Amino acid sequence: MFHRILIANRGEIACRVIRGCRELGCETVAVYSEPDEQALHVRLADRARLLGAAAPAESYLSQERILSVAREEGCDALHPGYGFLAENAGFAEAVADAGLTWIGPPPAAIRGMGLKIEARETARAAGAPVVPGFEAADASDEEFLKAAEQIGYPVMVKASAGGGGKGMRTVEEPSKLISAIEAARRESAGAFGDATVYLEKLLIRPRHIEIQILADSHGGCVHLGERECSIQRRHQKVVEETPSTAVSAKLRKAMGADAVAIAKQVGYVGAGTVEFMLDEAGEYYFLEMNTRLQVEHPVTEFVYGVDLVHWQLKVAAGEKLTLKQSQLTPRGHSIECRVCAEDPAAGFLPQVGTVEVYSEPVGPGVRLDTMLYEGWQVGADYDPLLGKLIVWGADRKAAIGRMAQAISDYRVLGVTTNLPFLYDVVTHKAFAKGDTTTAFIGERFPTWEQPPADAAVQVAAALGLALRQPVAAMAGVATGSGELPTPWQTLGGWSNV
Amino acid sequence: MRDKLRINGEAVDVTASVAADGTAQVKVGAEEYAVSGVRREGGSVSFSLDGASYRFHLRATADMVEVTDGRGYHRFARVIEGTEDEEAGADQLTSQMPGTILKLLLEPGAEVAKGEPLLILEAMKMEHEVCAPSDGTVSGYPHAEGERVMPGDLLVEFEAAE
Repeated sequence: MFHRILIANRGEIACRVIRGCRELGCETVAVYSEPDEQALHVRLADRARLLGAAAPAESYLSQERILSVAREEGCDALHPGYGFLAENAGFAEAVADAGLTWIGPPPAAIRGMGLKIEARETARAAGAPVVPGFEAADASDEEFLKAAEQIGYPVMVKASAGGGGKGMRTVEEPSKLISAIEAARRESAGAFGDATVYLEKLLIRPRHIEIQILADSHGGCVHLGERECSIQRRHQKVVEETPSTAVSAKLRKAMGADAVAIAKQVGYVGAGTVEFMLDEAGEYYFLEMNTRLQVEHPVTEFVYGVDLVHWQLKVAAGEKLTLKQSQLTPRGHSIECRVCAEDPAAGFLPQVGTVEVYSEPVGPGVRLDTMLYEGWQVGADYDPLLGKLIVWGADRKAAIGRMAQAISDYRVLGVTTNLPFLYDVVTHKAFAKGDTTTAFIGERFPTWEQPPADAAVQVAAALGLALRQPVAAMAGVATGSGELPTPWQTLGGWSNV
Repeated sequence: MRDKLRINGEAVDVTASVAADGTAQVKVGAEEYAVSGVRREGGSVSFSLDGASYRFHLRATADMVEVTDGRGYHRFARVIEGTEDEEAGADQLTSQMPGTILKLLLEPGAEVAKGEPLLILEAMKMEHEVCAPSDGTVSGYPHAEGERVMPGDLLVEFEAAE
């Protein structure tokens, strides 16, 4: 096993990976940008080193700087997390050239799956069904229009180098195709430095079903079932769960076998995810492969009782998988909600602010992977994901009830979050019925508003105002003994912030 | 103590007096509430109202009170005398964070329905639509495409329909 691992990431995933490394007895080195000096991952790691300014190019994407820190700190391995450099084949090679172990798939596998057009060919070669589409790197506007007509509207415009919903557009009619292609090219060129786009048939009300795979360097490869990630907003996943209500044991077996075949086709090693679309007729199509740990990996960990980060480390260290496909069966049900700094009542605009009041949910079957703590300043430099709330229940109904309770117990003030929206999603009747397609949010929540404040909320607000006054009348009111002064007590009149 | 908050769209007087035994008399607008078991711990306040127990987390600053019970979140602006007629909902059209104006979607004078996109803002590497808070008219755009905006900057001059 490794002695000291550099975690080339930030946020909740850096925290989660640091914990996994330490559990296996490995030391950890965190890296951070200037605004992340007080970040949780910096505090959790054994050591921490400044990379540079906030801009990713000067910090979390600065390959040279990260590798020199790794050398100076005597690291023997590097974990990239997700995002940033996780799917950068050139960086994976540079890590190996620097004499470190890259805790991720071989560069050739990253490359083969990184360009979506190439990935579709790989999937076809592995015998998996792919979404009907049109891929020609230098097609003219006329060719795109003609191809879209043949595929049939609506179509999706997607960035070949894309991911995370960037460079992706839905087009309903020919008159909007060219402007959508231009917008997708602009976004993709900005985000990935590659403006190549392709067309895919837009499946109607499909489900997003992905298969987790684990492969070792000795030819062993298993799948750990599906995750359903259909609840999305603008192609960003919001709620994920496993098992899917739409996947039978037979379908799981078929999709799992295709995922393993695709992984073997690209010589995959490590943890990876093969994404499929499942249509209303029960037909599934390969979408893409994510050559890294997924944001939503914890739901799989809950129902399969495995630690995917542990396995990433073990496989990278050359160990053989001891998991047998025949023994891998899901137990119970797990749901994840992505907690983001965004205001659901204002079009989900990202929010900034300092966490002033903070209380985490606890209890059986509740897991919180987060970067938050009281006093943390949520800034505008990085994406708005604050963390993930994950629950396990004996069945789906139990898991939903537990998630609703856990959301109610998660209290964050000072920065606006999407928690109330997440509550409404998981307690929606259609969610209870398992009627979860990628159209769910658009159909059920075209807009979202906070319901009016009821009497109890109004009373709470009034008490909040009264209790912030440090007056003699307050002296006898029951307060926790020995507690430190709260902001309410220390604040004077309204003139103080 | 006495204050004025904007609750459910209306500016109302709010008073609360908490006694040493943890009971409180609370008045919100015309409604009066007898509350018991008031207890404050850290950022939370617990109390009983009509036989039901509640525990909220809340925070009060110079210009607002925010209250959450996890599943719900409410932010009540403190109403400063003389500004009561300030447009409710106008804050939706100010930038919440640093960003860049990517695209102005309409011409000044355009009449829109509630929820219609007015402009596209790029922030946190993503494009975001800023939509009409109600039916109304776009009077103008204070910033040109490509301009940087900071939190609090007005993005759209908007007149709500009567």
